[in-house]
Amino acid sequence: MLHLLLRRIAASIVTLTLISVVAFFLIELPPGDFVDSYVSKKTQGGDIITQEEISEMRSRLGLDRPVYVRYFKWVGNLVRGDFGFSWEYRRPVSDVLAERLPLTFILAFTTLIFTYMIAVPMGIFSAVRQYSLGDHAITILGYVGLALPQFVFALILMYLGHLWFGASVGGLFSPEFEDAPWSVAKGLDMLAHIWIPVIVLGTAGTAFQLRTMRAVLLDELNKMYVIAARASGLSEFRLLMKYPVRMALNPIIATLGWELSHIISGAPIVGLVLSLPDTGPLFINSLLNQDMYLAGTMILIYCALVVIGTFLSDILLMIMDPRIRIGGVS
Amino acid sequence: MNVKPILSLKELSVSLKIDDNYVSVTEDVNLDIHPGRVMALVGESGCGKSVTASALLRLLPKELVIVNGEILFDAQNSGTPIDIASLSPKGREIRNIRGNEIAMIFQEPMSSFSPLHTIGNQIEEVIRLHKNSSTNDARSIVVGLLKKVGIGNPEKAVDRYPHTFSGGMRQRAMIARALSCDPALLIADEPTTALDVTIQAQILNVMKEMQSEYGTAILFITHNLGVVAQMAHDVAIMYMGRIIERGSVTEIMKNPQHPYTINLLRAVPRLGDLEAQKRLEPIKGSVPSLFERPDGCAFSPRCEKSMTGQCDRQIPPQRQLSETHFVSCFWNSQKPTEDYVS
Ligand SMILES: Nc1ncnc2c1ncn2[C@@H]1O[C@H](COP(=O)(O)OP(=O)(O)OP(=O)(O)O)[C@@H](O)[C@H]1O
Ligand code: SF4
Ligand SMILES: [Mg+2]
Repeated sequence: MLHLLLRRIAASIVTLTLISVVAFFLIELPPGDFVDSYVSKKTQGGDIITQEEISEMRSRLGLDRPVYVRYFKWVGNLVRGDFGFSWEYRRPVSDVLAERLPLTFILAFTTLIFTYMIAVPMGIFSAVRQYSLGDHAITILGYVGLALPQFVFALILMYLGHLWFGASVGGLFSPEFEDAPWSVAKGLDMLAHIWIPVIVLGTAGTAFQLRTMRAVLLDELNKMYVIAARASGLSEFRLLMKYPVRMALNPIIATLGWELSHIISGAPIVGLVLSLPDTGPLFINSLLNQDMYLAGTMILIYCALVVIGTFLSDILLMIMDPRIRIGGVS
Repeated sequence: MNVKPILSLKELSVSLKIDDNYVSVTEDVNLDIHPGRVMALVGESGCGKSVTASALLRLLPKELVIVNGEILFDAQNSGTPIDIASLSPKGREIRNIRGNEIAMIFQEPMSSFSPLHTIGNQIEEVIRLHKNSSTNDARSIVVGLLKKVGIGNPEKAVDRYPHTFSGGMRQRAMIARALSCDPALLIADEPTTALDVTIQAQILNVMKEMQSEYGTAILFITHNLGVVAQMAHDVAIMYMGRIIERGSVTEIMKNPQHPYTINLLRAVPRLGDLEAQKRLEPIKGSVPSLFERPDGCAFSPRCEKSMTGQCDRQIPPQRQLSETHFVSCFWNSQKPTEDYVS
């Protein structure tokens, strides 16, 4: 058990290191750099910038040094907790992210909970009442949820939200709370707004997990151990919850990290469409402006979330499944 | 035999329901199981043994329905049996019988336990369900049971998970689970088929020991006639969903009356046969599918004694040859000189 745990931790660290390399070089990949996009913006605005100013700026930002030097400098600083400087915002990356990152976490976490709270019970219902009217309805809803592009879904929900609940539906807060400090009222206001992005981000994953739950449970329901438990006199409900549902939860838990990555990769576009004050719009802008350290840090944080999610799901699986925790016949 | 049977099947028929059509799976099954005795139910694969066993505990999948007959169960020998066939398959009454008064062991020991719960947990559960015993009591009962069925180090074994058990050990644990509430009847559906030959012998021994210790009646399902001689007191032979002959072990083994039984016995290898280089005689032809049930006697297409005009038209009625020996066949090997009327 301990051995397995240590191995998973080591694997997570290796994964994160590799991701940092990939992230850094991916951001380097598009032609030009921050200075180029800065200059082209300025000249479009009518300013004149000399060649000297440009190279002076490059060397100030360290952009004239080779790629690997910059990478190691970046990573070295990261390890010390320094995420670098956002050229676009002219503030440290950590400052820029501090306001918005918590909202991203809240959004991702709420969506994750929403996904499982809906998918697990509905999947159980669907399997136990296979081919019933309810099962067919859930199946159709599931396919629609899987097929609908998120930005279209977001627009539809915004429209409906506007129709039913009035004015402010975009964003996460009503205007009066936007810059207010955190309070109970602000929290409630957020809850009134967060359902739209949560539904948009969570529906496809919910549909997918629901299908998984249904399929696995249908398989488990005919297993010998279920019949044996029934033959011992257990009631249907107790039996269902104790044995096949427990078994069917395993593949659901195993995809926790994957589910999280799904949510996180959908978040920026949805954030942009719904103009959320989270990191989504920030991330897209930083990529467009080639604001390297900001973009790199955010990719790394997103990936770290997924790696941590996967790690947690591995641990949960170990706790839930003795076949993983304890080896087989010795 | 004066003692009343604890379980008596009366013309039990189970059909496969496809939309609104019914296809017979078992027909008019009559069977009496007496307290403390082992009844072997023998027949080729697909003849309806497992269906009969599942029907007894109302465990049939929803496409299989009991269309006729009674399942009279009298655990206490009170003389007022209850008809299991009339109970609701999900109701409290049948659940109080399952695992408590009638227990079942299955063919697949590898999958009969949930891999996510300890062996102890899954046996204790049955005890706590039926006998209001505390967790501690249940646990010590389980330890005792595991010891009895021959599982080494039972105090440790209760907390182990099924995947750390071998097939033989799991089947022992399954026997422990089945006997945990001291049932009046145990249904064992091919309990050794999935095991290695040496392990099979061990499991049969455990079952025999347990049977004599607890005095449990057993319905022992098998297609192995060799096992029958070793385990059973009574035998019922099934062919295409019908019991075609039944009687005591001696009656069936020494004096089989139905051509199918005779054929089955000929197909069993014996030491003497091997020495004499005698060939085993397989039964010619194969079992027709459920959807092609022959008219009249279902065995007629394969039967050497078949009488055209009779066997392929009418279903042979049951004839009684002794107090315990019944056969359903038109052919009569030794004319009814010893007709026995009870
Ligand atoms: N759920 C089901 N749906 C349809 N047909 C079934 C079902 N269960 C059993 N049958 C059919 O009923 C017949 C009897 O099956 P059963 O399982 O009782 O045979 P068996 O005598 O136990 O055979 P085996 O020795 O192989 O276990 C077979 O023809 C089988 O195909
Ligand atoms: S009834 Fe006729 S066909 Fe059937 S077993 Fe007897 S002799 Fe053979
Ligand atoms: Mg069977």
